[in-house]
Amino acid sequence: MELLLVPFVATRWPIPESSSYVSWLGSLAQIGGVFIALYFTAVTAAAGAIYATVPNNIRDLMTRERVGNIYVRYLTQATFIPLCLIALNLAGFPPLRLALPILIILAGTGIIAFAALGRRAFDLFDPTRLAGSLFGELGRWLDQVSAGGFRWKDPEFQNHAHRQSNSIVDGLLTLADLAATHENLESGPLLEFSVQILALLTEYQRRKLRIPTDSYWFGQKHEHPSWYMTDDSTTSMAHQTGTTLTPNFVRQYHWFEDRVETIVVKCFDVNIRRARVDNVGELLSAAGTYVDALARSGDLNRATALVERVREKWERHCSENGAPESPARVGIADVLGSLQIQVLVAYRSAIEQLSPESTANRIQSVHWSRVESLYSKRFPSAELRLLEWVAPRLEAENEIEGKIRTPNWYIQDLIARAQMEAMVENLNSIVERGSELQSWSDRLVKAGLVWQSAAVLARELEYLNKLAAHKGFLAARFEALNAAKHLSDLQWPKFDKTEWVERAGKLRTRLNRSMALHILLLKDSEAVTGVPDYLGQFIHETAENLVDVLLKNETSEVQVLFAPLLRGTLALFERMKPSDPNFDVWTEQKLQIAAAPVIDLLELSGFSKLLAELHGEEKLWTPIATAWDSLFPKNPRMLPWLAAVTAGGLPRFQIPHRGLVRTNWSMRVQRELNQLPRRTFLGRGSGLFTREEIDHPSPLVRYCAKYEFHDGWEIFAALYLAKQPGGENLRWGHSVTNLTEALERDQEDDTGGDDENPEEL
Amino acid sequence: MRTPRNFDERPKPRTRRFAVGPSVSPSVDAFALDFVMFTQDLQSSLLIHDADESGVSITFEGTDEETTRAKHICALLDEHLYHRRDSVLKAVSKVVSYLAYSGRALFEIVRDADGQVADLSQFPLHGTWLVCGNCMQVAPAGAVNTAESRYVFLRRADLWRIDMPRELGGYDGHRKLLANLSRWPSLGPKFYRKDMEVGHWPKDFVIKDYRRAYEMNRYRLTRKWGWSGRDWHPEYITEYYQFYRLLTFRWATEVLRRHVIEEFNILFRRLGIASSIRVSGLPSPEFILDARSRMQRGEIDFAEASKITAPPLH
Repeated sequence: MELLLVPFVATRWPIPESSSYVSWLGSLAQIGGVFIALYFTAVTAAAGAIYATVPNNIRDLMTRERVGNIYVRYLTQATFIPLCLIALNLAGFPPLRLALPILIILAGTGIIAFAALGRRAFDLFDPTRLAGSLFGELGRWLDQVSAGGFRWKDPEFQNHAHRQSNSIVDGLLTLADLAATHENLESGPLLEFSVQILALLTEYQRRKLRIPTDSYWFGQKHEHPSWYMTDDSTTSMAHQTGTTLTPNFVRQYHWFEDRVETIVVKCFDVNIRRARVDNVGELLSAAGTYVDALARSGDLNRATALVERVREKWERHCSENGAPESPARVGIADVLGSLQIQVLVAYRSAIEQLSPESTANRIQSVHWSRVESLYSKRFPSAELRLLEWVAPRLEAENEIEGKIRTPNWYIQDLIARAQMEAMVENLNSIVERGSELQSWSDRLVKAGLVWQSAAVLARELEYLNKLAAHKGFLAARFEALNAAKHLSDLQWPKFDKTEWVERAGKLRTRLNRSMALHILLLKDSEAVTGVPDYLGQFIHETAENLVDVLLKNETSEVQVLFAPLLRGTLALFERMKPSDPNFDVWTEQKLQIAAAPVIDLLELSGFSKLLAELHGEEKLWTPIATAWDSLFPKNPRMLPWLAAVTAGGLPRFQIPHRGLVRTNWSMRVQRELNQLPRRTFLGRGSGLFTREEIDHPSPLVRYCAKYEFHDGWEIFAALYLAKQPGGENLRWGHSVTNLTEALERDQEDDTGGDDENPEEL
Repeated sequence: MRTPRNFDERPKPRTRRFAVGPSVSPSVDAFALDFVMFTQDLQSSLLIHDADESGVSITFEGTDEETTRAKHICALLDEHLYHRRDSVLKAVSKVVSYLAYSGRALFEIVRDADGQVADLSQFPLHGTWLVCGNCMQVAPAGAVNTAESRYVFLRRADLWRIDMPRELGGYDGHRKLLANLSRWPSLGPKFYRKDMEVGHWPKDFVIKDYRRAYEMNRYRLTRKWGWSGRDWHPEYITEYYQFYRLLTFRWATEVLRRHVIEEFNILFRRLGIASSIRVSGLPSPEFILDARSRMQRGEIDFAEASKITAPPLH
């Protein structure tokens, strides 16, 4: 039906006049020519400005620029076709009707595309933008060597892909060098390029698992054997011929990361030298994704090694450049510290998938007759190596028996052993990292960078808290792997959980001491605005740690923690106390808030007295008493001030500031007191009633346990402050007086009581 | 029934004994390593050094008189003809050695003038035909005196024939196994060895691939036996499969041992001896297979499987 319309269209669509036709075609050709000229002018300008002094491989990148090349090719054809049509017309052929619509579309596309391409031409001034073609090529080589790619098992093809990719990496390194040495490229462009590189590295971690571990893609290097580790026949042969031992060829499984990571480190280096802390922060944030990917693939050491490399750069920069501490610098130390936490959390997440059941399921899903199937299950590299060892042996079994005899549990055991070996190594590494953070903090203190050191300690605290939260899970996962094993006669790795937990515990003790020490350092150092309140955090943490050591009866730690806490708390009060001389309701509130840490201190001092008597360990109380004793002679007004603080800092009809914190401490102390043995006696007189006695020699302990009295500050006020010279005349409150009287009564009962032989039930 | 200790005083067997090479065609491999090792391992795996100490009990059922007769038959296979404590083990070992090399053992039941069994004389398979249970031996010309006939016809009643058990491939299967076991030269093909001898390193020949194919062939041939090829650090199989084969080999040797003992008992019945040999204290083939299955299911590990299936003191 449509075909019938053709004559109608032909009559309605006249053939254009020859002169107009030629003139129109000429115009199109001229437009195309102009665009080509303009494009090459832009390219030449860029080449003259940037590419004149660059290595050949970078210049090649410009000539290989994909979008520009496609456009120029298109434009050339769109220019050439009108010229051909003009030539045909001049040769006597009539004008073509269809030339009009087709050429107008071709020309229109060329004109519209030129607008977009014009903008892209400016990209040529930034060579790092040309890296896209390199990434594309790299992806193609990766596809080829991955399982299922064209001739992916052929060593020649693998070797070729390695060589090609190596040259691509050379190009990337040259681009990074170029960007790092040009002032206009070393900031944004280099950063953007490095972020792309990090994304590439992250992606590579995933795609790498699809490549056989013995593939020549990974390149190889010589490894010279030791004479005394080599078999006799080989050494004898070498001796007789007077030659050296033939080196072994080993695969460089991390060749790509080793080379490409240098770009990231270079970018980091450039930015810290230029003090572009925002760029550093952005880069570290992007590095976090890569570190996460490494940790998830179980390559914990590589992840931490990268963090360490970056940290070393930062440390060197800080030691060479004595710039004052700033929020940005403290922020960088903070982000660097947080990367280690990211490693830990990512590893924990990876371990979650490491159950015997999931391993069994993955092994079950492998089709041993198709080797490719091994590489689609996302086995980590260590497990992949093992399965690659197993696969040809199962194939041999199939050849011999006609079926595979080796059961899945055996393969699962082999994998479990590899997993457990990796776990032992990684768990030890995790504790080591905590120690590294501590050492870094110590070095920062020596360099006088107290605030950076505080940031690192704060991250270490988070790290160790996370470790404490996850350590049970990690150890349990190891136990689960251990429990699922079938073969007892394999060489299974050993993991001493107690020793590991002890090492982590020692780190925590060391951190607690460091935080206490930092209270003094931060108190005396010049405040840096815009950084987190590390002083407040460390005072709070030290107070909590003091409660822990008092409850655990760790006498050695009490003095270490309390002395800095005392000085820090008093300094904190000075900072927080209201400066307004007018005493109104707001000033009162401010005063209550400022008094809260002092009341915490009094509370802890009281607990130390109570717990010293509870444990019968005077050393819990002596360091605290000594610290207070040294304070009063220097400050005669200290005692009345403390009385005022206790009176004004604790509002009567509302929960005081930090009241919940102190209640929590009280409850923990009470739990300790509840464990005391109790005896029930017949009451005095008729004997109808019974009374309960706490079996402890200390009247204070008996009183507190019996009446559930556990206000630490009141104990301290009653038994210490009120007994100081001048303290007896100060008002400490009814509870304090009651406590003193009760203890005196108890004392009297003990010395001359009439109920010497009560009848015990 | 009394057999003189002196061989010269014994009644002469009619069949000829003469020296021949292996019962199968000569191997391509000059060293015939696998052939030799396999047949040796077959014999050694059945050895129990001291039945009393090992906890293995070998008893004869029947009256004392019948037991003495049965023991006498066993002692006939011992060259010294002593009624030793372990004469049964020696007799079994002797039969197994013939079976290992040929897959079949043929004995002529030699009788004295009273028709009593005076000797069990083994004769080679070479030049022997079995027809309806009877045997025809055609000895090589060089093996007989000119006055003697080369042809001997042995009635079924005078012939004791033992074949490899069916589970292990039988006579034909064993001969096929032996013939193929050393067919591949262990040191590589002839051209390769020649090249090596003149100091050339063949470029287009991958000896590693050859070694694998060689090992695969050996594993495949001895699949029923589970023989390890004395390779305790195998390169081409898993440790599990190595243990699987070890248990299979133990099963096979136990099957063979019981088969030979049962053949002795059948012989006793044929000879009218109301006694039979009973062996206890050794893991049965069924037990070994069960242990192998349990190992396959992961219920016991290698050490346990190996321990419970090992013959005592072996």
